Amino acid sequence: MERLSGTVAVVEDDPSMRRSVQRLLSAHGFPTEGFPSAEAFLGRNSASRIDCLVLDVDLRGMSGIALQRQLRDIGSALPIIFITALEDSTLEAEAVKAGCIAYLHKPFPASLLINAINSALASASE
Amino acid sequence: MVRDWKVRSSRFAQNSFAFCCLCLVIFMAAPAVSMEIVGRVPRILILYPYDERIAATTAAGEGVRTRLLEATEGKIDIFSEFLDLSRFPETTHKEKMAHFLTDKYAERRPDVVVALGEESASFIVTNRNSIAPGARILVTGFSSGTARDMRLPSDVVGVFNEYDITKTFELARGLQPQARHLFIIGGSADFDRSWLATARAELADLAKNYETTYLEDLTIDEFVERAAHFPPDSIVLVLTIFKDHAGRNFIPREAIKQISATASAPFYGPYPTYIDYGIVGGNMVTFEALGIAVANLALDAVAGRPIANVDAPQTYIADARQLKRWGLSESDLPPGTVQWFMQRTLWEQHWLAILATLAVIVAQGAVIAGLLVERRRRRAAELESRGRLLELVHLNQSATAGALTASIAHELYQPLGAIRSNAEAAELLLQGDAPDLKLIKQILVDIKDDDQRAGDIIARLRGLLKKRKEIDWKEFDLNEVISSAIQILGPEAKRRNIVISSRATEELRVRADRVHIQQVILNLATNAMDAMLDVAPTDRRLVFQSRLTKESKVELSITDTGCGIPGEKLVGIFDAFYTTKPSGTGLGLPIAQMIVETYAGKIWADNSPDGGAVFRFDLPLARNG
Repeated sequence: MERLSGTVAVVEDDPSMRRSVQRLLSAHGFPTEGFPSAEAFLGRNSASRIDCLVLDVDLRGMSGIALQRQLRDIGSALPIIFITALEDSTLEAEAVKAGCIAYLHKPFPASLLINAINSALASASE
Repeated sequence: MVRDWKVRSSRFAQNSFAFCCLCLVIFMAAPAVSMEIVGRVPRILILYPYDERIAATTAAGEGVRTRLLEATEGKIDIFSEFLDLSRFPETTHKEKMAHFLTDKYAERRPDVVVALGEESASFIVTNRNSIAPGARILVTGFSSGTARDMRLPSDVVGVFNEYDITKTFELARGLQPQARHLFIIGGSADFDRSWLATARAELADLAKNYETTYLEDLTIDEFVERAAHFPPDSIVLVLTIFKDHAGRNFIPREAIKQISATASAPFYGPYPTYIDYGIVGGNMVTFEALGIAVANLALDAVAGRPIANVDAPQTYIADARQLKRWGLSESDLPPGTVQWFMQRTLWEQHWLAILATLAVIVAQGAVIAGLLVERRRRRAAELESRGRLLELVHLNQSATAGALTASIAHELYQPLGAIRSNAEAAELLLQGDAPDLKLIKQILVDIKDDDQRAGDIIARLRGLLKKRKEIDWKEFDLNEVISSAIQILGPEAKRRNIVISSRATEELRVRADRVHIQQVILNLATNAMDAMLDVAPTDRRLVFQSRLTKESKVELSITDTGCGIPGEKLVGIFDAFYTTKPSGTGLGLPIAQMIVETYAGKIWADNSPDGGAVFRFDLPLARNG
């Protein structure tokens, strides 16, 4: 199977978590870009192309859900994979309803994340 | 040798004794002599018949002296003269003595002369006009019969000692109600015989009920022999033995001592001098009593009151040791009997003191017991209330932990998630041909750090849930506890978009249980966080500020940006079950208050000028040493 590769943005305010996810994705051959907050992601250099978003739900400042809503509002089709340490079924339902590739609870197995990214990139490349 | 004065005096009176029959003879009171003593204290001259070593007269004289000094509070002159007429009975000695005393008292004529014994009485009656003109003459130490026989002038007044053998017998009968035999012992001297005759007459009626034997005309050895074989139910009355049948002279009490030593029944006698010489007791006149009675006459005379002859008070006297020897009960003694040589028990001697002491001890004991019980109750109550407080605090801790579970779990999942991703990344890297060992090493460092992070979170959680059975007193910096509380609250604050800031100046040492103080902070902070639910997320701020006050108190203020506390609720805000939120237990603030007060601090609430509420508490600054 041909391996899809696109840049994955990791928006995570926990530095260690963000770093580990970026390492994991790198090890699987995905270029990554890390952002400590939703605001930082939105304010990124728009020249960089992002193909998939790994987004922490519980961000300080603008939350992951709010970012998802905003991206949808501006017509972005960026596939989103939520990762969270929260156990909040309401948030999860909201995220799924708004349309996300996966909703992963930390700590999650690497395979779940990689599969989700692969399916995200696949859907994006369709 | 000291001889028995009383017996002696009786002996001197033996010729008259037969006539007197011990009946009461009262001299008519002499016409009251007006005795006016102006500008000086009264003078009393006591005349002793013998020298100062004769115990009987000395005892009587001391009785006089003691009574006079006591009654006049020392405002009296008492003179004593020892005439020594026993060893110097010659007329020339008496004349010289009279001259001497006449000269001696020329400037200090006595107002009253107390003559002890017949010799003294005769001497002063003969020489009164030269030695003590105008003085009242008082006599004592002999019977009224003797006095009559001496033909004393009518203005001489005396205290006479009479002997009533029936009273002595009454004492014996009381002690020995079962007695069937009566023995009366008397010597062979004229005086002894007269005593026996008197006794026969006096005892005639009473003796009818007894098998009565008069032991007379016996030698001392015969007395001893007979006495050793008296039936046990015998009463033995001893009179006097100045001479036995063999013509041997005795001091009566010595003879009686010898006879009674091996006797088989108790002896009784009429003279106090017999006590300690083998008799159980009798009805007697003591020398002290004589002295006191004659002193009373002297006092009356000095005061110008009329005086008349009196009989010396008679007393029942018993020897406690003899009562014990014969197994006689002191309860059978006539009322008012004086017991000599009484080995009284501690209780009998000091019953009042013992009772008082016991009462004091019992009272003290009761007070002490009461105090102990009270203290124990108070301690129990304190422990109970402290136990309840600790229990309550623990419930409060659990509630806090429960409320923070979500954020704590979130907090914990972060490092766990990072560890998992890092581990899987490293695993994948190692499968490659040329693993980036530098990266792998970096991953391992991160894993280690995240593991530490997770461990710290669990440790904080445990600290939060730590249950105390006793207060764990420690001295610590309040700022450390504030930091730890902020760490616990951090995730929850983050979840609620609350920005926590902390301003601390210096180290603030307090002495308390840090888990409890942390709970106070958590309660105040969660209360503040709950108050900011309706505030715009960007305006949610929680500020911790600690400082040392001018009063050397460590104070922490927690300020929120909520809606503040309505003025009317500021007062009751620490009351139990006061709650503004639907989910609150209403116990957070009262428990915080209880804890703070347990550590001698106080807690209060206020509104900040910027609109939020400020909760403050203070604690005493811990001082080293």
